[in-house]
Amino acid sequence: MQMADQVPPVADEAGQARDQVVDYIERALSSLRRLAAELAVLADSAGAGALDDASMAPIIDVITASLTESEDLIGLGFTAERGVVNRSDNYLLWFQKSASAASRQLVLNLDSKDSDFYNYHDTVWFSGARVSGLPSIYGPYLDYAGADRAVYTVAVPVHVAGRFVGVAGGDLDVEVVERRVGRILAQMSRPSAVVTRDRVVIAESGTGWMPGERVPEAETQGGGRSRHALTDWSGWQLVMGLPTRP
Amino acid sequence: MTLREAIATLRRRGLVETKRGRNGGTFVQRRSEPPEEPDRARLAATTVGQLRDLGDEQSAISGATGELAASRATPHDLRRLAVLAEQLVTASSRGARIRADSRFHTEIAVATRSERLLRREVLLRAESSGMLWLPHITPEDHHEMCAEHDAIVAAIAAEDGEAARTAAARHIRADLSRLRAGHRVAVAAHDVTDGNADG
Repeated sequence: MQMADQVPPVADEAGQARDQVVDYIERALSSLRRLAAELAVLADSAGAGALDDASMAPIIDVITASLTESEDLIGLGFTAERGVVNRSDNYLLWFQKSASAASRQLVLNLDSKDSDFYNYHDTVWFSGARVSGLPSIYGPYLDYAGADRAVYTVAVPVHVAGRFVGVAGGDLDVEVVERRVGRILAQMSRPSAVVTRDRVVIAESGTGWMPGERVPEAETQGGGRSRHALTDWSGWQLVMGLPTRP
Repeated sequence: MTLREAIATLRRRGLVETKRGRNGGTFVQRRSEPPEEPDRARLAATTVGQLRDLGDEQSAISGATGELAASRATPHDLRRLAVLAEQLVTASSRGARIRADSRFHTEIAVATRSERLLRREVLLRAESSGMLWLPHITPEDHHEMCAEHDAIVAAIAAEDGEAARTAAARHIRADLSRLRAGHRVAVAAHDVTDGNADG
């Protein structure tokens, strides 16, 4: 809580806001981390390339229960690296919250010979987690082939004995993220924004740059602006003192 | 209408090929080569004034998506656009060309992150693509369309909104001429089958 005549030092204020946004992301991520741990145990006991529908069955309850519990996720599931599931190189087990109580399974086109193949292997979230070994996030994007709405997709890599076997992935609703992060930014003394690695605005407080727009690189630097990395993996940044758009 | 419902409209017309089953059930193979006749009949039943009106809306939507994509597209979006532009170059069947063309324009709308513009673009493509890709399209037409797509991609990649809008509008204008040419053929064929020369 700040008083009108006593603006807190920039570093403290940015630090506080950063911590709050990170807390929020980490909370969303915790369900994914738990699921990733369970998936690792399952993949380990099944053995390499031997996961099948029967061995995956127990994880369905874990996914649907976590999805129901999570305030933040609107979708949750597993996508496999090639050679991990016995019947196909393309395997997706993903559930979405639905208006009715039960979550429903997302069924996508996973036929790689088809021109409308949902090639998750090439998505930024999947390949990002595979390459970095860290969580990854992509969005905001209009996932018209998958989630059917504007989302962020977050992925936590699953490793078995050092081998990447896939990701525990989840979808965050773009509007929910904007409200949550926007509320944190609204407490700051200067117009600020949280932007992605690609400088796409996630949420802002009166900067004139609106969520979904992309801020030019030059606008995020100098002139008393400060940029603060939010995590070591997301590429999300807090830009403090983002000027009102010309 | 949700995005998925808009896409479903495309799918019903055979313009996108998607295999979908309920809860992982049996997948249904969609027809990948949409028949020409319904599209030709639809084109023949349309007036040139209606085609002009369709072009007006397409120009507004594609011009706007081009301009916005130029300031908003991420590096990932740009790679997708380049891939889809190339898919139209190599697409050899009518169905493959319809899908590649539709997906190219759809993906520009995706890059704007405007759900509303995306919905409009998807519906416009559902309405126009089948009528556009009829046999009157020559190899030269196909070649020009690919060049027009390349010009749009180049402007978006250069983050030049005005150039992207102009390139998109020019492309829509050219597509409208192609639709007009197809319309002449379709109306003539229709009149012959009807035995109704003054149709």
